[in-house]
Amino acid sequence: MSITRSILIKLFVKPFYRQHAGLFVFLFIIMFGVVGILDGAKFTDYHFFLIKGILQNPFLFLLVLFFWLLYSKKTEQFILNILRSPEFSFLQILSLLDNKKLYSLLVWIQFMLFLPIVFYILIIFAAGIYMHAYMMCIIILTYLISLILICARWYMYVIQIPGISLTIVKSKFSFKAKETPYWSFLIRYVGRDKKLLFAAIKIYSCTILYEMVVSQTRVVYDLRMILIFFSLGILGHGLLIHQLRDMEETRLVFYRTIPRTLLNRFLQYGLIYFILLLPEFITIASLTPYYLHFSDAFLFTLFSYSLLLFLNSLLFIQFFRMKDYLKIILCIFLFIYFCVLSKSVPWLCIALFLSSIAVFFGRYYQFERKSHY
Amino acid sequence: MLLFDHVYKTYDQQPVLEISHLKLERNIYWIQGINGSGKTTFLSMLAGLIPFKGDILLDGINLRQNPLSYRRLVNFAEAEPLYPDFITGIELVSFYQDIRKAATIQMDMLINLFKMHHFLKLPIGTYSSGMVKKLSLLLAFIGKPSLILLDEPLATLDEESIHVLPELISAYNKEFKTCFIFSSHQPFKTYSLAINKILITDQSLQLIT
Repeated sequence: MSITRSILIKLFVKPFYRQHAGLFVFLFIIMFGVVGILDGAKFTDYHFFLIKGILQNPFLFLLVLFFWLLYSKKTEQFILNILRSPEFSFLQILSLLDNKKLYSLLVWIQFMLFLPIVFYILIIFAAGIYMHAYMMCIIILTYLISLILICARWYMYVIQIPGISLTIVKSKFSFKAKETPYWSFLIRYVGRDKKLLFAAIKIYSCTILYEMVVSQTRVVYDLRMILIFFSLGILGHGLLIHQLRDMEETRLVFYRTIPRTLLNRFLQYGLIYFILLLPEFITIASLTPYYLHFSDAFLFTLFSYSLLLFLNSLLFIQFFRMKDYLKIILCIFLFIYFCVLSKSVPWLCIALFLSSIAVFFGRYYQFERKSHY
Repeated sequence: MLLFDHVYKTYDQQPVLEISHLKLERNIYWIQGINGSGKTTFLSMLAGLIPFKGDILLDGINLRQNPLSYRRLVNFAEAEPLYPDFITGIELVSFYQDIRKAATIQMDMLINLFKMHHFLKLPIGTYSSGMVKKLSLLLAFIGKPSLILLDEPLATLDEESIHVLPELISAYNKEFKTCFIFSSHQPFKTYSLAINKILITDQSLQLIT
């Protein structure tokens, strides 16, 4: 491997997978870890039916293509952030390479970033050939190649013409702007930079909730197993919460100096997590009262909301590193599992809600992220 | 008046600052010290950004006991400010203006003074480090705070703003009796200002008048 290629892999590919390790583990568990337990279905059967659905149902097919597009957008943002950050300004030297060489390098980098998708596409191809769905396989292959080539071409453009931006700026100036509430900064951050993670969590939690409630309650009205699987999705929000808090502690530090009551600050978080949980709330509402009793719908709502508030408050005790935070989340999951089996979930919800308030009010002004000096 | 009473700050059990008793009038103070002496820590403590032991009182209001009232009186501009890339400058200014209940005329004055009209509507991600610095300084001057803390206010500023800043400090100090504490490694144009110096050595503060 040439020195340029190996440096680019070190700069782009390795950090990408390192930074998104949590997301990939989460997706891997959803795709390969959880399914084996569902309804006793075999792992291979599950994926065969899933791929069959993708290849035969146009809506599902387009949805999958859309997610790959989101993924490519994610990789594009990651690469551009690196290219535009001052410490990597030396990469402008790449513009001295001739076009063919630079483009082939960038295609290679983009291919490496697409490996998880390439891996699943290979499985789709195997199933597609078995099902004689050759046209769909060709469409998928063309789509994948196009995404890789377009992304690589865009990186090349940015390297060769630094400072270029797709943002169209309106130049007319008028000072009086509408007041921007604090919570909207965080919601916009999710909408702008964490779309993929948000979508993955929502797809998992809403699908699991909807599918399991619909299929399970017809047979016997027992929500325990559903609650355990649903809690995995809600706990998955921990990844998002950690990144939100990280953003707050790096780019919204000023908010701590702003004169706002603790109650107001807590309510801002309350609103943020309410908005983030809207897809789950809508799913719960759509299942009530036909599949879910009102009391259980309320329990699911309170459970998800109080759990998110608690996960948020935890990061005011200490800004745990992601791996430590995930360990804590695993412990919480085990505790939830125990509570579900012992039918004490309502008490758990109340405890989570009250502790989130207590921790927040007790720790907000005491919190200090290490490395300040 | 700013009062420090048995203020003590540590990082990982290592003492960084120890102020047994210190009283500062509503003047202009230039805090000096070598790198790592604790200037930014001192300013962050005063801004209520980081916890510490002891008491800090501004006009009789205790930071620990009345965090809300205290924060109403203090503005802070960090040395290397960072904001979300997608927010526009105007959104941040409006956010501050609303919270600090500042008049639009003051906004116009500050925007004109720092010559920020042409980029305030752009997302902060498009700003240079100097533009971000100007924005953070503008935000620090919004309202009528009793205390303004400026950490390395001259760093990355253009020549014109370097001249504007001392004038602005002087005007706020005279008109609103605002107390200023700033740190700077660069020479400050002090001809229009009566500046007191605070020296940080061996984790303690020494007022030099």
